[in-house]
Amino acid sequence: MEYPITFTLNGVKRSVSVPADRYLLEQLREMGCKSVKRGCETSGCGLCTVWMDGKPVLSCTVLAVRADGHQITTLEGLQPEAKILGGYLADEGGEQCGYCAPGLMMTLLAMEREYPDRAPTEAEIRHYLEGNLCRCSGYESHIRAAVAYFQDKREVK
Amino acid sequence: MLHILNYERPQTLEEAYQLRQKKGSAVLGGTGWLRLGEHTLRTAIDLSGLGLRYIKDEGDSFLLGAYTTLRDLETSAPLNEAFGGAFADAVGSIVGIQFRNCATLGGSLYGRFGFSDVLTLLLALDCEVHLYKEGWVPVETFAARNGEPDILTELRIYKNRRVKVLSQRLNANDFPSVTIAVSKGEDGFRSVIGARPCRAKIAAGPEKLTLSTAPDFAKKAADAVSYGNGMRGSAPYRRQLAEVLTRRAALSLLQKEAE
Ligand SMILES: Cc1cc2nc3c(=O)[nH]c(=O)nc-3n(C[C@H](O)[C@H](O)[C@H](O)COP(=O)(O)OP(=O)(O)OC[C@H]3O[C@@H](n4cnc5c(N)ncnc54)[C@H](O)[C@@H]3O)c2cc1C
Ligand code: FES
Ligand code: FES
Repeated sequence: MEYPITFTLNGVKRSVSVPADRYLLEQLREMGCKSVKRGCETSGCGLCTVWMDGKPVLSCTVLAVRADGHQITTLEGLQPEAKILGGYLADEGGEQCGYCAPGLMMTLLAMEREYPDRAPTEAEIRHYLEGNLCRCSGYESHIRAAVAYFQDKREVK
Repeated sequence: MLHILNYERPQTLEEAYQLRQKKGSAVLGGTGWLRLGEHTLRTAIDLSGLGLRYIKDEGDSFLLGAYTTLRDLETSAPLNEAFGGAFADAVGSIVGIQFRNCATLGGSLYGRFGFSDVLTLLLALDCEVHLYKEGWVPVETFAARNGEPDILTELRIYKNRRVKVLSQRLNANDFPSVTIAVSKGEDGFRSVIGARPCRAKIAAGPEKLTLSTAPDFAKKAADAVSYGNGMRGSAPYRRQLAEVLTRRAALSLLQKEAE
């Protein structure tokens, strides 16, 4: 059985019908948001991170029916910011295979919004990123990139 | 894999309760646990339209809705101020913030998981679980039972105890090898040991303690419960951890009191 839902995807209202046991991950990829990556599908890796009403959630864990009436954001909807943040990751060698990058960027861009008045500390960044796994980088390059990004952003503000 | 044959979004708790009486029905929390393993739900009950996500300060207690997320527990300033940051400490190592934005208090309690950091903390406090039909149940009674077909609506936490929660993990966001909580109220100290890896249990107390009797209390608590072997630790290792962490937590509360 399919259920009609209406939600805002990257600023555009969309109406679709979904089976009750389809996850948001599947639905978003079917709707063209290929930045949303499939990883463990057991809530453990953070590759599938998207925003629900501005907060990072795991699209492999949220049922698509539950997007009804909510705002969903993927990296496709944050392209100008993604370009800038991606530059920092590349500069620090934080993008190797790059598969974890969209989930990582969705998490960091959400973190930026949780710290409107100051740059988060390195310890806060490490804590915030604990749910984002990466098999290539060893994480230190991600942390360097995030620290530099937040510091530069703060100076610009 | 989670299979859902029929999805329902009831408008009232009574409607939700009636749906929950059907065979093969379950309430959807954040679906973090439900999505693992093989589950076929004939009726999946989504309570997200019923306004069950809140943390209310009621003076002598807090009232928390079942759909309050673990991230809400971690970031709530009033809750963490009242309990010395214990909620942030207890949930801050559960997977990651994206997961904690999904997982709910109701699902964490109703699941009565043998690895639960949340249940360990709550058993150390004076709490009551509200079930729609049954009414208020002390958390220790609730924790000892199994899956009743009721709706967990909210939790009341009294502010009368100070608490310290500690866990040991093989790596930062793994399941715990052991989690303990020690609390202090008018009646003295209480020790809870969880993730042994069996359901959390009150292990010792209430008992008055001093800096010199705290080590014996920790030993008594660690000896009072059973432990299991597993990939996150052998039973003797977990028992040793439980004693050391319980002693540290008790001493930390005593030292805070002396300051
Ligand atoms: C990979 C992974 C790692 C984890 N690591 C830890 C850890 O280290 N420490 C820890 O403490 N926890 C851990 N957990 C458990 C997690 O914190 C949650 O407790 C768990 O996901 C259940 O919460 P949920 O909201 O996802 O509930 P669901 O999975 O949606 O539901 C769990 C159960 O509760 C029932 N239920 C949900 N809400 C209600 C309600 N209001 N009334 C009646 N029944 C209800 C459901 O029907 C189901 O039976 C982990 C979970 C996962 C998936
Ligand atoms: S794919 Fe969602 S957490 Fe791994
Ligand atoms: S760069 Fe390959 S998984 Fe992170």
